[in-house]
Amino acid sequence: MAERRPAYAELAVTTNFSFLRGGSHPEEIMARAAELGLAGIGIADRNSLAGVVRAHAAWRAWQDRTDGPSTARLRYAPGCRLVLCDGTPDLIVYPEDRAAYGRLTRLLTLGNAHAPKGLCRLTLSDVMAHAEGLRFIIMPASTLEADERAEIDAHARKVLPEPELGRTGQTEPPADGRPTLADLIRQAKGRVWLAVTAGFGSSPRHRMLERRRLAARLGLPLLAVGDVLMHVAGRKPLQDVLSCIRLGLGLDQAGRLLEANAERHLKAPAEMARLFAAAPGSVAETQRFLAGLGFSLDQLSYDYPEEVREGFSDPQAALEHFTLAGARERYGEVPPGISAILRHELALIAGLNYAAYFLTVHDIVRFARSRGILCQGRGSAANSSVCFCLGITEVDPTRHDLLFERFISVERREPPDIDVDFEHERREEVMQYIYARYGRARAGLAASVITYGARSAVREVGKVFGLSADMVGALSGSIWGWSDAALKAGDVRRLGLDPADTRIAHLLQLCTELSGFPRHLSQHVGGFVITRTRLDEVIPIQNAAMTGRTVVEWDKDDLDTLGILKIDVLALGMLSCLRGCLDLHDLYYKPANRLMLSTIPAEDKAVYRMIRRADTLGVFQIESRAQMSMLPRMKPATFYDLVIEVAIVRPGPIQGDMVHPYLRRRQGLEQVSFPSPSPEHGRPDELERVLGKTLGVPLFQEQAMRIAIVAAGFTPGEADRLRRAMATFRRVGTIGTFATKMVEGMVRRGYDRDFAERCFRQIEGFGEYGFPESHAASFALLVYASCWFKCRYPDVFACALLNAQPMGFYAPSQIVRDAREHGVALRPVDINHSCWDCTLETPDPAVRTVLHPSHRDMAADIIGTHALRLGFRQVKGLSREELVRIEERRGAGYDSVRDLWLRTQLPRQAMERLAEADAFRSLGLSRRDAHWAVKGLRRSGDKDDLPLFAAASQPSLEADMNLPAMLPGHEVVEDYAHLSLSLKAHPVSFLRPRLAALGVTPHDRLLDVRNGARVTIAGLVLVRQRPGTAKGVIFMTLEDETGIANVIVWPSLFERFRPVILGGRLTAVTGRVQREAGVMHVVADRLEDFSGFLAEIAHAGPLAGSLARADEVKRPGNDARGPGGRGIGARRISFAKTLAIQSLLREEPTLAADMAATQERDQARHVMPKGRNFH
Amino acid sequence: MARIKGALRLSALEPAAKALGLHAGQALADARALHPGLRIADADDAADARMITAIADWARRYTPLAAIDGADGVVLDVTGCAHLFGGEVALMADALRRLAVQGFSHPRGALAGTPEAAWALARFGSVGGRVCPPGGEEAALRPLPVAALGLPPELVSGLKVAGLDRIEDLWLRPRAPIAARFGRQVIARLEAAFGLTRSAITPRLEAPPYVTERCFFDPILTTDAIMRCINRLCAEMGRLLERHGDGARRLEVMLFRVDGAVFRIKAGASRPTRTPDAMAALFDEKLKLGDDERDIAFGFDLLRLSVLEAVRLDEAAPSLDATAGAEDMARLIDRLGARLGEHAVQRLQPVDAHLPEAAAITIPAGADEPIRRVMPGWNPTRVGDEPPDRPLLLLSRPEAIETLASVPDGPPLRFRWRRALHDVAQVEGPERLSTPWWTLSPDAPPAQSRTRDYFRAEDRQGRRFWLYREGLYGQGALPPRWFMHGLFG
Amino acid sequence: MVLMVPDPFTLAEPSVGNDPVLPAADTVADLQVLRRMVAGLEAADCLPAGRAARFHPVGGAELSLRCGALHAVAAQEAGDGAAALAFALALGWMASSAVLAGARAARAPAQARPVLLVLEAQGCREAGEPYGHGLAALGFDPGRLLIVRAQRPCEALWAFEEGLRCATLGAVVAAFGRCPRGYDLTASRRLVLATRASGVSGCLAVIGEGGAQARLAGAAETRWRIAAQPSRAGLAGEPTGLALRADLLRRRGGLPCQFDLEWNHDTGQFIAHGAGQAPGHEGRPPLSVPLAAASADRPVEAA
Repeated sequence: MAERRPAYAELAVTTNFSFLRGGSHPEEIMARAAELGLAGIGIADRNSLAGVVRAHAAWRAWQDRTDGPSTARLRYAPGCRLVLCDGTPDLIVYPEDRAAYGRLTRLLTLGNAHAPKGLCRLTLSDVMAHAEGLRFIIMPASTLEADERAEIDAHARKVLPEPELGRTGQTEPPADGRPTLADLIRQAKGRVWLAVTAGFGSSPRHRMLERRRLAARLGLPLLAVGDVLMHVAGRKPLQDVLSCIRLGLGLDQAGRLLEANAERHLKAPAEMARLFAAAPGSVAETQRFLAGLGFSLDQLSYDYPEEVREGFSDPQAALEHFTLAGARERYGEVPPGISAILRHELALIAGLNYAAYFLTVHDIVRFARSRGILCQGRGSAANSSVCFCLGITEVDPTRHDLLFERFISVERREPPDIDVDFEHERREEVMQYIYARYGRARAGLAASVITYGARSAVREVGKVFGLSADMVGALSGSIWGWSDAALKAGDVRRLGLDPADTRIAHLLQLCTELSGFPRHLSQHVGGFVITRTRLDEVIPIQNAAMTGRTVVEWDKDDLDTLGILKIDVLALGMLSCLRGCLDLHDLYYKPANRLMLSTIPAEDKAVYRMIRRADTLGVFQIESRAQMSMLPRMKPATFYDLVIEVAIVRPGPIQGDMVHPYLRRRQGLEQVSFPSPSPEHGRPDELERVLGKTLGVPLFQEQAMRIAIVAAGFTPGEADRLRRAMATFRRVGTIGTFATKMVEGMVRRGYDRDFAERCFRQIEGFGEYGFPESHAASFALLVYASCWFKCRYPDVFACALLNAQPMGFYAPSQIVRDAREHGVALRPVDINHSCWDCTLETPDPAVRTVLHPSHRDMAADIIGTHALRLGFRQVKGLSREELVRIEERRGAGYDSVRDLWLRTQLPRQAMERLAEADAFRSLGLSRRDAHWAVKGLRRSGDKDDLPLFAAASQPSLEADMNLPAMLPGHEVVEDYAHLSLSLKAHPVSFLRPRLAALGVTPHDRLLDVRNGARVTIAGLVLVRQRPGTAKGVIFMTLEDETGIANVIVWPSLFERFRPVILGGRLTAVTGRVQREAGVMHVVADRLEDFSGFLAEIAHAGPLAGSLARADEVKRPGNDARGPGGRGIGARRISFAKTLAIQSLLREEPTLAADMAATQERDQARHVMPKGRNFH
Repeated sequence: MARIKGALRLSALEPAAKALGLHAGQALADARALHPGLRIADADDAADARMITAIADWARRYTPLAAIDGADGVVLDVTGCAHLFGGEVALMADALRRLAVQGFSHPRGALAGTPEAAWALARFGSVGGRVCPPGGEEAALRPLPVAALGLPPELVSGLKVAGLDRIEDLWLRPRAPIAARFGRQVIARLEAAFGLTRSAITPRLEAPPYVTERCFFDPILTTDAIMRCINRLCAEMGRLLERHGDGARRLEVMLFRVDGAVFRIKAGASRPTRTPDAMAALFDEKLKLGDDERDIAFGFDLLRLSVLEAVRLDEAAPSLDATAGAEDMARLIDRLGARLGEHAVQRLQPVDAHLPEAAAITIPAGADEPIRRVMPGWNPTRVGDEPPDRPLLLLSRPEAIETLASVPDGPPLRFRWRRALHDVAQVEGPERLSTPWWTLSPDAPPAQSRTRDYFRAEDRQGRRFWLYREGLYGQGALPPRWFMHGLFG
Repeated sequence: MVLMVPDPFTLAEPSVGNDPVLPAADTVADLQVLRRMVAGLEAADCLPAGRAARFHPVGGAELSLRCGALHAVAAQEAGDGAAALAFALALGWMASSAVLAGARAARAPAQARPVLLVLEAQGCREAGEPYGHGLAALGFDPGRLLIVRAQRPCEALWAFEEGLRCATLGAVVAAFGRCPRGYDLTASRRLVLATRASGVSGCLAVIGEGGAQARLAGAAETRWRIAAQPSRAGLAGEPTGLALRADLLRRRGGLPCQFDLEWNHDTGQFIAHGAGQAPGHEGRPPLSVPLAAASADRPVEAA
C-alpha cells in the first residue's frame, strides 16, 4: 500500500514572514508537512527570504528527532514568490544550485533597492536577467495589490530614470519588445512549470481545464500547488484577522477581501491526488520539480573576509602578532601562565579558522580608539584573553577565572559572538567606517523581527473586531508592563465585557494566537554581517528606515542557525558619559597624565564606601531602586562584589529565588553549603566547583548551564539547546521537555527536587535577560568607573551625565539636585556664560560648598571643586545648530537682547525660548522683561534690519509698560516649564507652611523618625515603578525641598488609591517608616493628591507664610478633590493678587468660582512635569 | 473622546467625571489608568454640529439673524427685535428658560452692545443669562481673563508670560507696544469688545425675502391643525407676493416644537406660483408622508412660512432641463410608494460579503445613501467568458432537498426538490464558501461544518439550479445536508 | 462588464507544438471581435430607433420587435419560470437599450434608461427573489433596475400601467404567478395605449404554475411561450449560460414560429442556440470530468 501512496511536495507556501498574509509560522508548516507525510516542502514568501532559515532550522530539528513520524522523505527547498509589478502573474522560484541562489538574492536586493521599505519592485525583465539556474512556477495571477503598486510607482518615480518607469503600471500586453512570459519560457526552457490550483472558486472545473489547455498550448508541464497560507484549516480566523490588520478594516467590512474558505492549508498527498484528478500528472510533477533542486541553505558556508593585514602571510599570523603585542602592553613582561592561555586560545581559533573574525573586531576597535571613541566589549568575549590583549575587552579573564571555552568551543560549533559597546553619540561614525571599509555590497546590519506582543496583539485584534478605540485602549491598558501575559478573562469582565460572548471569546483566543507573530522587519541595534564575497549573494539586502543603512533579511538567530558570523556594534550612553568625564577631568584638573578608563585608580575604598551607602544616583547599572536597596545589604567591598551586584538584580536570579539565599549567606546568616548528588552518582563537590565563587548560589548564566550538565547530566550540546530554547521558547514550544529532563535528571541523581526546580526557573529567567559572568564583569568595570567619578569628582560626573542625556533612570532635575547635595555649585543658563553643553567654571571662593547632611562622611573623599554651569541643552525647544552661534560669536559678551539678536541672527523663536528660560540675567533682565524685549524685536523678515526700524524699536522709545513683577513661586514654575528644573527654589518649599500645618514631615527629618512610626510626607512624584519582578508592588519616589523619600505601595492599596498613585504630581503619603540595613521606605497606607496646590505656587510670594492667611474664598460645592481629599482641598487660598480683583470677587462670588475652576485646573496641569513611569 | 494631536483624548466630560479631576484634553490612556471604570463615548463632531445648527434654527424664532458661533455657541443679532419679546431682559430669560426646558442643564447667555462682549460674558461671565446695560461693557469686561477676548491660545499664553492676565491689564496700558508684539488682532478684539469698532455677524441662513408666521399660546397638536394653519399662512403669503408682483419658486415651512426641535419642510414649485391653494398643495402630501417621523409630541408653538426664492411672476417660464427625467422618476416612485407602501419600491444594492444571501440587499428606492459598505461592483467573481455563476432568482430561504451525490465533496447526481426528481446532466462546482467564523461560537463544532459547497446543476430538461451542500463528509458528527438556493434563467 | 486582463502569454509566437487533444481556442479573441462589431453598429447608429430586438427563427427570416409595444410571455411549465422571467427581462433590456440608441441619435448625452420590474408578490414568492449578482451575470445592470412589489395582482397591474406611462423608463416588466384576473381585452388595450403614448415597452410575464394554461388574450403585440433548454456544454462539461426555446404563439401581422435561443450577455442580444460555440470547439468530444466514485457505504438518499 505504502508504495502506491502518491508522493506530493507542496511548493507554494506563504508563511507569516510574508507579513500579515501567511497565517502560520514556518516551524508550524514544517511540522505539519512532516506529519502529513509530504515528500517535500518549499517555502516561498512574497519577494522575501525572511522565513526560509526558520523553516530550515525546524526542518533540521525534525530530522534530528528520533521519535515521531519518519521525516526521512521530507525534503526542504527554500524559495521565493516573486510578485512583479508589471502585471505578470506571480512566479515562484527555486534555485537549482548555490550560484542560482546568489542570483535570486541579488534579484531581490535589486527590487528592494527600487522600492520603499518593506516592498520590492521587480519586473519580468529583472527576473529574466537573473533567471539562470532558477526553476519557475507560474501562478494563476498576480497578487500585487493596488495600493502596493501605487506606493511602488510613487517611489519609482522618485528614484528611477525615465525610461525605466515605463515598465510598471502597464495593463496592455507589451508591444515594445519588452519581454513577456513567452520569452521567459523560451529562455528558461525546461525550467518552467505552470501551476494549477484546486480552485473551490465559482467555476473550478472550467478553470482547471483552462489551465490544462494553457499548459498544452505553452508546452509546459502542469504542477499542482495548494497555494498554502496556513498549516491547518483552523488557522483561518487568524489569517482573516491578519488580512484585516493589513487592510486596516474590520472583519465586517473586509468582505470578499478575506479568503472565501479555509482551503488554503496543507493537505495530504492522497487528498491532493483526488483534488487534481482532472489534471493528471500534476501531483507527480512536484517530485520531478524537486528532484532538480540541489541547493540547501547549509551551502552558505560562511566565507569571512580575509583581512589581509600589513605584511602578514595569513590572518592567523597577524592575529598572533597583534595578540602578543597587546599582551606586552597589558602585562609588560608576559607571565608564563598568560602565555600558555594565549597559546591555547590561539590554537583553538586557528583550528576553527576564526582568526579573520578577531582581526575584524580588532580593526574596528582600533579605528574607534584612533578617533578617541570609547568602546568596550561585552558579553562572553570577555572570557577571552585574546580579546583582552587585542583591547576588545577590558576584563582580564585570568583575574576572574573566566574560561575561554564558554566563548568558543569546538564542540558547540557555534560562531563566536563579539559585542562591542561604543559611545552612543558616536557609534554612527563606527558604523559608517565599517560600510566604508567593506563596502555596502559586503556589509549590512542584521534584521530584527518585530513581533506582536500581548499588548499590540490586543490593540490590533480589538480594532479588527470593531471595538471602539476606547475599549481597545482599555483592554491593552489592562496588560501591565512588558509581560507576555495574555489578556485575562477577569480583566475583560472588569471592563464590562462578557468573556463568554462569541466575539469576545474569539478575540481573546486570537490575541493569544497572534502574539509572537512577526509583524515586520526592523534593523537590529547593531549586529553587522560582513562577507568576503558579495553579501547580496548570501542574503537579500533592504534599505533601512534610516538613510545610509542597509539591512539584511535575517535576524541574529537566523544568522546563528547558518553559522554566519556577525559583530554587534552597540551604543551605550554610559560610555558617552565616561568620555565626557575623562575630557572634563583633563580640561579642568590638568592631571599630569591624562586619565583613561584603564588608569582610573582601582579598588578605591572611598568609592566602595559611597556605593555601600547606595549613593549611586546616575551611575551605571546600580542606580535603579532595586539595585539601590540591595547595595547596603550586599556591602560591596571589591570589584568582584560589583560583578555579582550587576548580575544579581536580574529576572533570572530573582525568578529563581536566588537573591535572598545569596544575601543571607553573604551576611553570614546562613551556612554556605553545596547541594550534592547521591554518592553513587558523582563527586559530592561537583557543584562546589561550579558555585564556589557565589557562595553556593547560582547567579550567572554559565552556572545554570553548568548545573544542567554536571547535575542533570545534559550534554554540553543539550545545555546549549536548552539555552536557545529559552530565548525562543514562545516560537518553538519545546521548553516543556527540557524542564522535565532537567528536573528529573537532577532528582534522579539525588538532588533535592525543590533545588532542581529553582535552578530551572532561573534558567527560564535567564532566557531573555541572563547575564553571563564575563558580561557582568565588563559592566562592572563601567560601574566602578562611573562611581569613581561620582565619588571623587561630583562636578565632573554631573556635568558629563547631563551632557549624555537622555539616558538612565533620572531626569536632569534629580541629577542637578544630587550634584548640589554633593557640594557642587550650580549656575543657571545664561547667554553670556553658557555653551550648548553644560560646562564647569572656576569656583567662587566666597561660596562655601555645603554637603548635604547625609553625604557629610564624604567630605574628605571629594576632590572636585568646580561649579557647574548649565548649558543651553537644558532649555526645551532649542536646536544645537543655532545655539552654538551664541558661543562662537560671544567675544567679550553680549550687552543687550538686541545685540545678541543682531550678532547671532537667532530666529525669534529661539530668542523667546531663551527669554522664557530666564537666560538674560547677566544683562540685568528678568524673565518677563527679557521676554518683552524679545517680543519687541522687529518682526521684519530681513536680517539686515534697516536703521530706521532699528531706531523705532528701541525699547527706550517705547512707552513704559510697567509690567507686573513675577512672583518667586511663578519664577520657579516657569523654570520647571522651560528647563524641567529650577535652581532658584524647590516648588514644595513654597507650600511648606501649609504642609506643616497639615502635619507633613519634611523628608530630611525622616532620619529622626523611629522605625515603625507613622508619618505623613509629601513631595513631587519623581518616579513610579512597578517592576515585573515585584508582584505588583509599586515603588514611588517623592521629592521635596529637603530630599527624596521612597514609598512602597502594596498591591492591595493600589485599586483604592489608583487615581492618586497614577495621576498625582504632588502626592502626600501617610504610612509607616520601615528601615532595614540602611534603606528607608515609607510603606503607604493612605495617599492623597495635592496636585491642586501646585497651581497656587505661581501666585505665592516670597514669604508663603504670610499669604497663607490671605483671603480665603470658600469654594462652593464643586470640590475637585477626590473622596480622599477629606476637607483639605475644600479650603482654598485665593489666587487674587490685587485688591481690586479681591473686591470684585466679593461682589461676584460666582465669578470667582468659575475663574478658580478653570484657571487652577489649567495651571496645575502645566506646572510640573509628570513623574517618570517605569514598568 | 476624540483623536487630538495623535492621541486619544477626552474631549468633553459630564459633571461627575469633572468631579473626579479629569479634564478635557487629557489623554485617554491616562484617564483610563486613573479610573478604569470610566464610561467613554466617541466624540461625534457631526452630531455636535447638528445640535448647534438645530439650536441656531430654533433661535431664529427671535430673529432671522442667527449665526453659529464656533463649536459651542449661537449668536443672535436682536437689534430691533427685543421689544417683541418684552425687552432684552425678558428675551434672555425666555431663551434660557426654553433651553432649560429642552434639557440643557446650564445654558449660559449674555446680551451686550457688541458681539465680542457678549461672547466674552457668555463664556467667562457668571452662570445664567446676563444682560449688560448700555455702556456697561467696560465694567463687565475688565476683570475677565484675556482668553475672554477669544484670542488664539498661543497669544493668550504669550500675554500671560508678560504678566498681562486680564482684560484690564491690556485696557489700561499703552496699546502700541502690545500691538507691536502680539499683533493688531489683540487690540482689534479689545476695541471691538469695548464697542470702539463695529462688527456684524454672519447669519447661518440668509433672511428669506418673504416671511409670514403664526404663534400659538396653546401649542397645536394635530396634522389637520397644522395644515389649516399652513393654508392660512399661504393665503397671507399669496397676498404678500401679489403686492410685490412675485411668485414663489421655493418655499419652506418651519415648525417650532415646544421642546425646541425645529422641522423644516421645503417644497419647490415646478413653476413659480402665488396661488394659495397651489402653495398649500405643495405641503399637503409632504405633511401626510412625514407624519411618523415628525412626532408632534407636545405640539408646535410657532409656524413660519418663508419664500426662499422668489421670481418675477411674468418672467418665469416652464423649465425643461436635464433633471426633468429624474423628477419624473421621483414622481413615479412617490406615486407607487404612496399606494403600495414606501418599502414596496426598491433598488438592489451589492454588499461586500461572500455568502450569497448577504451579498445583496434591497433598499427603499428613495434612499440616497448606501446603507452598508457597498461592493465595488456587481458579480465580480466571474472571469472572462465564464457563464453566469450566480442565479437570476435566489430563494429567500434555502430549501432542503434530497440528493444523491458522491463523497466527500462530489457534485449531485440526482436530487428531489418540491417533489420533483431531477437528473443532473451537466454540473459545475464546488464553489466553497465559509460562514463567517466570528458569528459562530468558538466552542461550537468547527466552522467547517458550516461550510457550503455550491454547485450549478442543469437537469435533463435544461433547467439550471444553484444548490449547495452544508458541511463536509467526515467533518463533524452530523452528515452534511443539501439545499436548493437559486434558479438560473 | 467583463474585466479584460491582458493575456500575459502574448500568443504571438507559441514556441511549442500544440497538443492535438486540446487545440487552442481563442474565446477572448472572439469576444473582442464581437465587441468591435457591436461598437461599430452603435457608432454608425445603424440600429434604427424604435426597433427593440431581432430574432432569427429556426430556419426563417429575421424578426424585429418594435419599441413602445406590449408583449406577453408565459412559462411552458412551472419549472420554466426562471427562463420565462429571464426572457421577459431580456426583452425589456433590449427595448431599453434600443431607446438608448434612438435617444443618442436624437440628442447627446443619453443615459441608460431604468427598467421597472413589477412583482406580484404572492405569485412570485415560490420562484425566489431577483438576485443582483445573477442579473449582472446576464448583463442586466441591477443599478438600472427598480423593483416594485405588489401584494395583489390588481395592484401589480396598476403599477405596471403607471410604469408604462412614465416616459423616463426604458421598459416595464411585470411578473405574475398566474394570469391576473384583471387582465382582459379592455385592460390590455389600455396598456397598449399607454405604451404607444410613452414609447415605453411593456412585458407581462406569467412565470408561475399557471403559465401553461394562461390564456393571455388581449391586444399584446406578441405572445410567447418559453421553455428552458439544455445549454451547450462548457469546457469541462459544465452548464453554460441562458438557453431556451421560445414559441411565438401570436404575433400581429405575422405567423407563429419557434426559436432556439442562447443569450449573449456581453452583447445583450439573443443568438441562435449553439452559435456561441467557440471555433475549434466543434467536432471535439466534450471533455468529461471524472466524478469521484460514490462511496458504497453511503445510503442513497434520493431515489
